[in-house]
Amino acid sequence: MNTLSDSNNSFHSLFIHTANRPAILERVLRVVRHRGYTLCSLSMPESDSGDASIYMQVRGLNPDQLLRQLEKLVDVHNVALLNEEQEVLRA
Amino acid sequence: MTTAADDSEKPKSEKPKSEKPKSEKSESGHEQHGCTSGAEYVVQALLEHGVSTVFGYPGGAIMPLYDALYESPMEHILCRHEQGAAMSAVGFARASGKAGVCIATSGPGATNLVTGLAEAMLDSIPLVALTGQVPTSVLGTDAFQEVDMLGLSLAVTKHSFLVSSVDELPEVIEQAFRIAQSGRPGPVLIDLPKDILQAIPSTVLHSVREEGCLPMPEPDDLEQARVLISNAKKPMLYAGGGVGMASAVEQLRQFQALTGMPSVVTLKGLGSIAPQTAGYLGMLGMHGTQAANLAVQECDLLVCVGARFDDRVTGRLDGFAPDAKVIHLDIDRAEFGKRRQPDVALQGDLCRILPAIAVFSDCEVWQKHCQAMAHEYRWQYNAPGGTVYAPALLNELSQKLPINTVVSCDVGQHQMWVAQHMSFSRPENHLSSGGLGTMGFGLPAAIGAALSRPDDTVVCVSGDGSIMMNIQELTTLRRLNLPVKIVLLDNERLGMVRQWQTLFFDGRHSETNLSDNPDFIGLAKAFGVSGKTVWQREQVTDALEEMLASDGPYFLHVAINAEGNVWPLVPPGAANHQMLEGI
Repeated sequence: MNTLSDSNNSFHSLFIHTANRPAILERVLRVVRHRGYTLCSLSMPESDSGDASIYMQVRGLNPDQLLRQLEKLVDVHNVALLNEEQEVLRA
Repeated sequence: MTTAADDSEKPKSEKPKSEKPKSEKSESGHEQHGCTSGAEYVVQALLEHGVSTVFGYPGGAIMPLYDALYESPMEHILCRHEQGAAMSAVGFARASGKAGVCIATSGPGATNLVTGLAEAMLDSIPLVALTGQVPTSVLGTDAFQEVDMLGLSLAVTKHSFLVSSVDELPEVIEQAFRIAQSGRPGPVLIDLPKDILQAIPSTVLHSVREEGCLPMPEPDDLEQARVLISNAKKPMLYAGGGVGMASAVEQLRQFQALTGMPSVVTLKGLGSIAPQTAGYLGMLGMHGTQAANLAVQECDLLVCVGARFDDRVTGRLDGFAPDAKVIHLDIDRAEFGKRRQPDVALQGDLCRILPAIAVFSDCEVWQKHCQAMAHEYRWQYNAPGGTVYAPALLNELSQKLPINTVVSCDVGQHQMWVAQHMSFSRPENHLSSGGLGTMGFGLPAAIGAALSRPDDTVVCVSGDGSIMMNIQELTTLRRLNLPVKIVLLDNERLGMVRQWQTLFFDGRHSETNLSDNPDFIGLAKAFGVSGKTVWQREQVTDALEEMLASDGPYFLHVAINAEGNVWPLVPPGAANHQMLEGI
């Protein structure tokens, strides 16, 4: 899917809202790796509800493709790409 | 020739048969179960989902489920390897359109299912796999026959469950069938610890049912697609396996008839367009027809329906249909732009989208040009020599078969010859391992097909490499006395690999000589299956007729030339118009 020479091979911030089920983190990380993206950072704050929020930074091109693959995970409710402003707010 | 064993001597299930599932409907319409164990609930829930046949192999951790099967009306097919069970379940699903179900025990039983799960994943086949697991009290201790099946399943399933309480079973089983069959179908694994199968539910278990409905694409996108179709001068319909999976064959054919555009199909799309349709050019891609590949390169609009611009289809991607705008219809949004950016992407149910974009396309000149190409590049069967010419044999076989015959095949040269030289009236009549390319698929898939469609003829075309990958399933075939006709094309080589070694590795034929194959007819005889061998072209017609007239399973062993190659061929790195054509 990706070529290393592509100039769009940059950082992307993703927010994943998902059911907090066993193996959800493994499922997400497997998709990230298999689809050719490099994980740069990840946080998954504790939650009392049945849902979980995952924030991650990845490197790779065409983040929409990764977003669509992550959306296919049965436990995932939705995935969003965060722009710089949203990232600042989160921080 | 051998004589088939007396039916009365075959092993029979000794289990008593109960008449009906033990469930009744509550006032809410949900099934209520007075099940005494998780295993009993699993069997009842399978029956409620319309499952009448399952494929499997028993073992330690899954024994409670087999105990529940013992008194159930469920038909369990005892395969001789778990991979055979998984492939038979895939064949059952592909030929019938229903979900296939396979069962294995923990550890090696479960790992032996993995190739079957990957097969279903790559070809989008609805499959529910049930695996035993060690009791929850010892999970994670490297107990006997423990393997982390949930972990193993992540890359080869659409979803997977490790059940942690008997009371979860109703929701898990409902979700498993819904996920396997909805959207883009695929395999779902349910890992069942032994103690949960044995546990008594804390309450009366209720089945749950969930229904979903797919939205239509935006009206503006549909309109944009209609405009592109009506303005195109050289439109081309490119249909894939998604058409059959969506039960959209009729809608596709109506779309083609209304728009009038020529058509090509992928390996999994074979049968979605009737072969005699005007402007139908056959399969495209690496071993596609010259006409299909040349026309696609020339088209100005590609209407891709339930296909995914697979590398075997496109050849060099940046040279594929270089002048074409693309309308892409698919149930899976992740396919849009994965390999080729569409001009219009339409996600949803093909049955509803196709009629919504079916407008006339004024392309009569182009249509005639495509028909002329189809005639110019039609297959020739007059190869010189007296040895059996496999393409001609398969073409003759195809013409002799009833229209609703199911043909399964394995993987390699014979698989491509089946796709090229046999005709299919429906996609569910052609069972071929497309995405994963699994040698060993053909025989168990044929067994599954024969069970799901007992009134239709089932033929398995295989090669001498592939047949040995699941040869043990001849026992299953004989036990069930299924009338599957096996045609083994034997070139004493791993033919497709050898062909590539010849063409692209300087003729260095590394480890592709299989001339020490077993005596295949002797082998079939050992399994109790009749058959014969043919060596010469002049023997073919009589041999095919004898095979088709036979009762029960039959094994036709055909010796073919080791030098034969599959043509045409788009070499690696080339665009599709740069086909090689051999002799």
